[in-house]
Amino acid sequence: MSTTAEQSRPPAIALEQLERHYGDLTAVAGIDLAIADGEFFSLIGPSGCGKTTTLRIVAGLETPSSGRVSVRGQDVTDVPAFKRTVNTVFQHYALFPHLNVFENVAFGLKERKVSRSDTRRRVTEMLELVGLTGREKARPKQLSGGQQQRVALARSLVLEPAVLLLDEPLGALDLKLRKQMQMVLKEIQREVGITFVYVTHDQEEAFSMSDRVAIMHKGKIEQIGDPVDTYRRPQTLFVADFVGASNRFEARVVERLGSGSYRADMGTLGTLDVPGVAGLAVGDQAVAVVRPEAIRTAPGFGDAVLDGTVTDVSFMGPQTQYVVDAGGLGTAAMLSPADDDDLLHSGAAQQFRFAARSAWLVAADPGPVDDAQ
Amino acid sequence: MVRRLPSMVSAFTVLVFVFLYLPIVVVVINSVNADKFLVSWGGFTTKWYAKALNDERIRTDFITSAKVAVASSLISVAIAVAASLWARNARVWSRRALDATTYMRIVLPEVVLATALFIFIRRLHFQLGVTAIVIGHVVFNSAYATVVIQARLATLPISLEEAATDLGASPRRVFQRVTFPLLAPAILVAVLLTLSFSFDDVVSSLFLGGTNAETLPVLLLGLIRISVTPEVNAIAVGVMLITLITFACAAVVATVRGSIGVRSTPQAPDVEE
Amino acid sequence: MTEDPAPRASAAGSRRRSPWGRGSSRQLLALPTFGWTLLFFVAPLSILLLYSFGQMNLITFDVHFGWTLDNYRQLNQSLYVHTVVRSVLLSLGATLGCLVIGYPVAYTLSKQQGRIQTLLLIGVMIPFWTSFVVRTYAWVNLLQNGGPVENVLHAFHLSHGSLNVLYSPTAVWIGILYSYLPLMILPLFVSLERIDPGLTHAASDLGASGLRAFRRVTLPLSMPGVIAGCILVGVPATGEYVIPSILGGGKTLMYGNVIADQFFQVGDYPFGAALAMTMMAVVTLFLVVARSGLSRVEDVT
Repeated sequence: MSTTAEQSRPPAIALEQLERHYGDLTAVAGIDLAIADGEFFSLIGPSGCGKTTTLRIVAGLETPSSGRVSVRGQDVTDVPAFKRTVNTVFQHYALFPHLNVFENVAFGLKERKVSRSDTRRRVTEMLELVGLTGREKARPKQLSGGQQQRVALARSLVLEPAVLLLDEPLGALDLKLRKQMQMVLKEIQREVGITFVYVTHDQEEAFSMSDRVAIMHKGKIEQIGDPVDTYRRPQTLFVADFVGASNRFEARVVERLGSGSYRADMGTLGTLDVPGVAGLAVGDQAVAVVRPEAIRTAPGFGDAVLDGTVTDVSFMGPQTQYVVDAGGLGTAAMLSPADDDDLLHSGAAQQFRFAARSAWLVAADPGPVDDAQ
Repeated sequence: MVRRLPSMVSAFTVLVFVFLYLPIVVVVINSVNADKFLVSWGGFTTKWYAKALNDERIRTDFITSAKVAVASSLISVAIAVAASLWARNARVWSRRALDATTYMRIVLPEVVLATALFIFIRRLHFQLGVTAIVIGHVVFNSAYATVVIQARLATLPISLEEAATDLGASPRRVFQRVTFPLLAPAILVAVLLTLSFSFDDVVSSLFLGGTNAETLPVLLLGLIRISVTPEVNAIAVGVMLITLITFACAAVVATVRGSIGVRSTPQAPDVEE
Repeated sequence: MTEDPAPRASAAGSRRRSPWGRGSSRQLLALPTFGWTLLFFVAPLSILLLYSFGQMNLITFDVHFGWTLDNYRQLNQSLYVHTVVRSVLLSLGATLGCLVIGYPVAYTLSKQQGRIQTLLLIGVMIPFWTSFVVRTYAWVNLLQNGGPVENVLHAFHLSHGSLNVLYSPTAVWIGILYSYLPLMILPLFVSLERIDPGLTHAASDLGASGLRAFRRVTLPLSMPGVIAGCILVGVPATGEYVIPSILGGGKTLMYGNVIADQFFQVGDYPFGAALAMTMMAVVTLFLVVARSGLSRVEDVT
């Protein structure tokens, strides 16, 4: 996390009360955000949540309806895109088809009137960094998707921007390639030290690469934090569902226990001491979120017991997913490492157990964002 | 995947091509046909070519046609490029207005347009002549050019221009370094198209030329109506050769520049080395 | 590779425009086209309309702007009505002919690949680049009594005696069909090319192959091209001047000839204007009908 030395530097990107409307439609409904220098920061959320719009506003490709954008402390809200020290890697790479790889990467340098020798040096270095040495003369359409990706990356990085914006750059690649590229991006970011702002709808991708993530929903930020924190302590039901599969159980707050825990009445599951979000009051209707991997079948495990029948078994390789019909409590999902001994069959009636402290309480109403509904 | 065409359909297509080229073959044959009345084959001769080349009026009219064609082509394409670039950013109803006027100008019978312009120019006490003809040609040529350019522009993803500006290019530089080069093939096509439409035009040239300016097709029409004139075939073949050579050069230039694919479809497999 | 997001209207309106929006300097780009259209298209047509309500003194050639319908009433004479009807019929006939002949050609073209397809397309276009007037003149040669066509027909025993087709409406019909054929083939080709070949594969998967697949999949989907082609041919053909002039033997066979006649021979501009306006009205009517058909068809496809 940031040290005090880093905190005294102005944030790489600061957004204040950022809004963007298109007639009746609101794409960005008021965002405040500060991204630290050198961070790998991800903006994630479902389609239409406003993350791409936000990114484009930072790039200068869209103008906000209201609010301010600052880059390294400088207000750039009215500065056009071509004057900002921010560069973008586009979703479909947007390589110039009439230029070869070298000319593509050199494009921005030529705009800055960098000398020919300097350009050659910098472009060559950058191509080496992304692993494309020797392909200078190739045309974009001769390259594979992954290679085009890297040219796009090189083209932006060579300009040494204050911030690099990436708009779902890996979306068009197949799974294996995507995983590889995630590692490459993370490595490059570490080596170069530039702030990355990464937009994706893929929670796993964001979590594996980022220092911090912001979850967006309907134009607002629901939560900002590091991946671990966001996963284990989601602030709203939406975030809980978005960052991972969640089993939900009804709970009513009976007592506030201090240090972030509550005593909750969870019906047939009994009364349990469960950690949760701050601000729940006695009598509040809440939802206890339990991750599938927190559920076990081992006898004596944990303090909450569900009686249920397995209705579906999905063997995924490293893990097996079970769908369990727990009667009045609804349907639950359980994830277990695939040990031969533990493999259950469909139709098996079992006791499923979890520890109260692995559950997490969030408010039952949809998060604070949906007040317009 | 090419599914096999029924051979009837392919054969029919061949026949149609024969049909399309039949008159052209006739023209070529007749251009060297010594028979003055073109009733039957009278032996090979080049006298019609000689006659055409030596005719003062034919030479003048050819130059007039060329001047008109070049002028109307350049103006039309310039208008079309400007209009197409504007249309991309315009509001929906503005764009629809442009589409409507483009469509009307293409589809409306030229006779109506020519008579309207004729009266208009006369009314304003301007002269009929080369300028008037160019004006008339630009009206419909700019519409054709707009269609061609707009079609090409539509295939250029906005993200290319966004990338250019993101990398530091001002709007003018974006046009210069990205938009225009990518638009160039369409501009070439538009120029060639409008050149040939203009050169070959009869109705507008007839109505708007007045006594001052006569274009080649108008002359040809007059000659044909009066009597059987074999030299018109020689003229036509001459013009055809010039046209074909021009187009062939343009095609060679375009291919030498390399085929520029806009969609960055990966040709190589997505395998990392 | 997923489709590149070229500018299109998304649910949120067309957001992805050029980054520099709609500044006033950009609006200037619209000036040439709209300016030219206004000045040299709309204005002249308006004046034409005005003229059609005026009167010309054929001795002094002074135009008197009344608000008279005389010109339009004059139109009602059987002579002119006949010409209008004949023009429309000839145009429709030629359109139909172009469609019947052009469709198979466009279909063949759409099934070709790469180089061959380009070459064939150019092949269709090349006649366009030879003199329109002279090509039409060639038909005089071809269709005259004792000419090649007559000889061929005799050789195949398809007709006897003199052909007698030159300088008749039939000759004009042939001429229009010939000249406008590429204009029908091109939109048909574009439309057919766009049809996903996977659809006909799917159709044969489901049991309809060959002719049936064509009738139920390809034909309906090519309708926008059919209508576009019919408009591109039918509308301008109604006002044809050159072809009836050459192949019609100098008689005023078609509407375009009548109009030109009024301006160059008779000198009665208002009446000529009325004729032109009437043509425009007929054409606009036809266009509206065809376009509504087109949008209905496009909605489905």
